[in-house]
Amino acid sequence: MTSRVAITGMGIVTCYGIGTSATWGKILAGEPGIRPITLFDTSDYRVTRAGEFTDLPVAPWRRFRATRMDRASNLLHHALAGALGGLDMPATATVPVPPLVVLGTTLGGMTSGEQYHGMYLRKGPALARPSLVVGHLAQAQVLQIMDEFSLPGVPRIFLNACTSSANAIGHAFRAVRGGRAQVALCGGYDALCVFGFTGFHSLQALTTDVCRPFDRSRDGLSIGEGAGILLLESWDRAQARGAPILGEIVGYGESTDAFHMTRPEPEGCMAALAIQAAVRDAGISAAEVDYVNAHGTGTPFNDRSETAALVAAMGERAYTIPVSSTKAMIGHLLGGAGAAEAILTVLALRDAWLPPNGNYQTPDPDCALRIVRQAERPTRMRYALSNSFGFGGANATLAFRSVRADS
Amino acid sequence: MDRVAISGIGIVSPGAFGREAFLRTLSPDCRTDPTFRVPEFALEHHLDNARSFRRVADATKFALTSMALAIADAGFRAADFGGERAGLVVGVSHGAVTYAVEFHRTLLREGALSASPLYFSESVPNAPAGNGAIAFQIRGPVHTLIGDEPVGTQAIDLASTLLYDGCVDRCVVAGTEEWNGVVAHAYAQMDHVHRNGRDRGDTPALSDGAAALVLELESTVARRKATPHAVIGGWHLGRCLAGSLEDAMADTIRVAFGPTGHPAAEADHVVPPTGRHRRAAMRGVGAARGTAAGQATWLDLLPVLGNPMGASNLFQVAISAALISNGTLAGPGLVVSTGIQRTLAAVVISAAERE
Repeated sequence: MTSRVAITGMGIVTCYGIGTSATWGKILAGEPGIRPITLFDTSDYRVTRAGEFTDLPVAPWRRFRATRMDRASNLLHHALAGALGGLDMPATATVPVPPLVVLGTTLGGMTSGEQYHGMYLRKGPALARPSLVVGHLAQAQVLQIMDEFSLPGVPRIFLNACTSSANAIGHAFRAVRGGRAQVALCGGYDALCVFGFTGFHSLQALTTDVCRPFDRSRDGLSIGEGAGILLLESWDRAQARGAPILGEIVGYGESTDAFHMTRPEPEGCMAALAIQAAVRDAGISAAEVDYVNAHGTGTPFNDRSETAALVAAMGERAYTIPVSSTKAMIGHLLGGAGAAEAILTVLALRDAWLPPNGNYQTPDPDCALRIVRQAERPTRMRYALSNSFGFGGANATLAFRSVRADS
Repeated sequence: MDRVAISGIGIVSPGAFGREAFLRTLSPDCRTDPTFRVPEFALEHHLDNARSFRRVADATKFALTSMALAIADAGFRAADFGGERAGLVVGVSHGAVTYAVEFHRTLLREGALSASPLYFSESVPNAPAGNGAIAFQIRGPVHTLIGDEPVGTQAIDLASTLLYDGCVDRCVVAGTEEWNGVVAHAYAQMDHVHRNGRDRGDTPALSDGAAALVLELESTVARRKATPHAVIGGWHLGRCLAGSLEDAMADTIRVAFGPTGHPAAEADHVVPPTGRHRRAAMRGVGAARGTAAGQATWLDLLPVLGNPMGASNLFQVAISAALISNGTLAGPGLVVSTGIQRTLAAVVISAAERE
């Protein structure tokens, strides 16, 4: 027995702020969120900008000492509180049905890990603060947030690089659809940190200019930070309690390149399989897809490969579907990217607005897609896809349906 | 119901490579290096395309070798295993942490421009899984899960879901860990029990190694006329948020035994945890089995393995399956795992023929 899967809560934190309205309005306005980094000294770097949440407020922790919480834990707290707002209850109250918790991250509490290791090297091992180690463990943020929000059970935490949270949502979706869970909290998070920023810097994957996904002059990505959490429920349960249904997840596909640790397979063959699987899982055809929120990192390799994948998966239709990447504006949220972009895709369906592909100026013949230059009203908006691809060759595609399609 | 079968076992431990060699290390007259480190070895001895992986971190090297051993043990040629119907789930606690530490050390000491991209890309937690997918051309779902010691059961749980949902026909689950001085120091600092000089038996030495299993549904194994080592009768994950860890462990065990239709008292062997809280967990085993239970063989891997964190749980499952497979024990076997964050897991391993 399978169930339709309703999205009844969404919480998002990006460089624009906390909550869907803070991010969505600025995305539609095309307001750039990539700014000079203030979190750490960048004088030694070729790149000095990122999608940082400047002055991120410390979350109102009840069970933990707020000053000891990792930046990633605070991002996660804000996003989860937003998602639970959909239950019409105070965020700190106990969720009535124990939810399945499936989250994704790439770096976990790396900020704490960096601090610990810095102390270890500067002051000596004995003077490194052990409490930082607890915050560093990649599962720590999720366990802390579950304790804080009185969520029982054991979380499943994906570390599949940039597809982590798309995988988390996909597996939560399957669990609810298959009746293994009535309610699921899913998504992902990552905080801006020196380690991750330097890592992408060392790979020369960061743009020294501005991130221009699918543009001919694109030369790299911008790192961002944030978190996204979705509350999923079986359709019947959501309707029975009169919950506002924000959207519906209808399909999920995943595959692996098995090609290279950091480079995507150039022909996009395996990514195409993930896209096709999601469309097939949704029970629709490529002709019914009205928008694709692309992974679109802005690196030469990724965008060319993703274009090839879309064409391989959808044929001629790939050239006419509106496509945009929101990474030019909020940056690449790494483990949080799939979740944040899933939420933006749901908002696009809900409001029937296509978010723009920021900084797009010059078409690239290798990426001959119908790129959304400015926010626009589509003629039809029923189904949309969100792509995520990551290190290790991981590919994931989520398919969403507009609840407006019911009316 | 079609059960999940363990058709292949691959071991890379401080004292042995491979299933049979690992069983021999359990002998009382076999001594393991007390530092519990996997000795240097050449990947070429285990992997045809090893040259492509010559720069990987130890955690990845261990994982690739254990996967190769498991795939061969299941009767597959490495070149035939992969494809879109094959999956891979890797559980880690820290993964390739030595590269991460080196990357960060260089960054702090010599500046950002000196940090090697290799140490970044091969330190990401999904490096063992990503490289495993490349090595064996696994193109179905490939996932990395993170957690403390019970993450092996989480990997089994996810792989089983993929098998039951029809997403894959075969799935490797692997756990891998490499020893690192900074991590070992950090755990020692965190271990208040250890620091206070009390209950030292609950603070096992961190170690390294990898264990891999090939999982398939029993019907799939039968179709290819292979014989599984054992089947996974049941499993359950829990977390002790408050109250007695012993009671929580007992409850976890009882739930794990549910699908088998047998009580925990019927377990003829128990593989206790290698991680923190092991004494409380062992009391939980006693509580779950009850006072009327018969004598069970306790297979404590700590003296031969140390505590390889994210890999430990799959070592436990592997040893239980291997001993049932070679007829040393009849089963069912009970594998219990505990983590520093008070996470709990119980897995029941049964003979493949057992109904």
